[in-house]
Amino acid sequence: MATAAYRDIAIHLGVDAGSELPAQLGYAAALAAGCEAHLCGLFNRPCLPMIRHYIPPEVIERHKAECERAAVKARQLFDAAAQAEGIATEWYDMPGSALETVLVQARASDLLLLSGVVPGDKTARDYDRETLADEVVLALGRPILLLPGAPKPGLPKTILIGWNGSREAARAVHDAMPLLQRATQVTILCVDPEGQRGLPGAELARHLSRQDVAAELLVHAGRDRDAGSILLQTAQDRKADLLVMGAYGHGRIRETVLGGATAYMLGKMELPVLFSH
Amino acid sequence: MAIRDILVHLSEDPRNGAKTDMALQIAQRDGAHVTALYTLPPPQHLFYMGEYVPPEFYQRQIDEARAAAKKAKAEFEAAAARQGVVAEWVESERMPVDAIETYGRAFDLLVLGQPDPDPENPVLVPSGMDVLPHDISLRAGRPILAVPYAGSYPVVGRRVMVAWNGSREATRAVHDALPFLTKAEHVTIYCINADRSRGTPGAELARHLARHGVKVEVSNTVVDDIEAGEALLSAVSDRSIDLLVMGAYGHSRLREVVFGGVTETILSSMTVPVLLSN
Repeated sequence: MATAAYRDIAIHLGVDAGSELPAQLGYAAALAAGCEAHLCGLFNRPCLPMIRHYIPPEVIERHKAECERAAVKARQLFDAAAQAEGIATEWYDMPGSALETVLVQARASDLLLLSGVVPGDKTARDYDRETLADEVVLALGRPILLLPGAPKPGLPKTILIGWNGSREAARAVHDAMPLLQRATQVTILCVDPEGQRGLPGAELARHLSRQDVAAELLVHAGRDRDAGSILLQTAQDRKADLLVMGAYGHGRIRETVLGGATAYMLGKMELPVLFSH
Repeated sequence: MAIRDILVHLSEDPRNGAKTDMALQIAQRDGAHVTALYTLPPPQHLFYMGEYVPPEFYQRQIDEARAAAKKAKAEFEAAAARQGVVAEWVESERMPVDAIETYGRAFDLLVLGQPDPDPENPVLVPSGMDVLPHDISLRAGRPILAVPYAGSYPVVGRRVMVAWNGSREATRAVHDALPFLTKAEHVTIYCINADRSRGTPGAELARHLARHGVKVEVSNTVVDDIEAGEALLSAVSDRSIDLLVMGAYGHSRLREVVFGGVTETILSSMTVPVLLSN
């Protein structure tokens, strides 16, 4: 029985959205429909950086036109995705940086969807999506769901929890509760069982059973720095369609999951990751 | 999310009864289990007796601590049985802060006691106890319900006030408090200097909470940062609030020096239970 619920799901859309946007909006709309939540689109129009206090008027005009074009396109795709799922929506079109927009609006939501880095996508000319995800997850106070290029739509059925007994992992698990309660298979993967400070995975399994989540426990006696690749490998083996884990401070999302070969793997696996801090 | 799993911290403390009652009250309402984590006091070392301390001295301390734990356990189990709540008992010899921080991560809510600012026998208070609820709220990743050091609270969560400044910490607290908010008769979002911060406006929060089925009233207040704690305390008593929900702020950053001070002001002078989260 599901007692936890998301009622407001937000998704950020930037002017730099690439060809993956329709698939991501489709995922967001299906998730909102599955959770009976509202979907809130957050679009931001970034300001031009000042160069010696002067920007030629034609540059400003061009920037404005580009923003307008991107806003219209994003809105159309957003509305189309929402209509396909028949969900209630809201649309915020705000001036300012992506970080400001997200921090102001997404605190009044249950979950924020962000586009991750899509390897090999030449159309995505983002200023730095990894940095955005890093900063948002630390400063928001809500969980974020990082989307790969083309996630498989629908509520996640098989969920993998990356557990090391930390504060952040505890946050991520509890923030993911609405999804855990609706999943058919939940696996707890203990990636740092020898850590002295953390809580053993068995305690988490006991706790989840009280929340009507039956979880299977896997223990991997690996070192902490291998955690990212072990998690992704296990996720692939188990055909998980969601990974839940804590975010541990600046740069760590990038290092553990998005870095180098792992980013490639993420793109291949089409695996969304729920992070919390 | 419903509260299904509550941890209450007990120790050699006259407030065990109040903390137990609070945990049982919530458990009964939500159909939750209650686990008591009893922390045994570490033996006191004697520094003034020269080189030799008879082993019996330590043994007596240990025996007394065990006897106190046994008595507390009997009282806890009797109270739980009276209320018909499924209860568990766990003992730990670790320092309270470490034991609660780690063990508490697999619970929905941690019920802790706000320490007496003027304890009868300060020597016997283990280190770290004076800031226990605040400290744990920063480290456990779970919400804390801090029970004041005096008084009894037969009703908690009927009239709830959320201290809102649009910050990350307040966001955490309000979402962690949803199981209380959805059952409350009256919820006030008390915005402190909301126009000055760049955080989420109270009206946006009200819209969001309405989606969760929580009816709220929004109240805006502008005060000096230094007086925020006092303003909050008087609003709590003026409105007959029985549960205050607020973010717990650390001490590390400049911004948090101000709000961290608020956390301590509220905790040390509060007259109602406080739900704290970081």
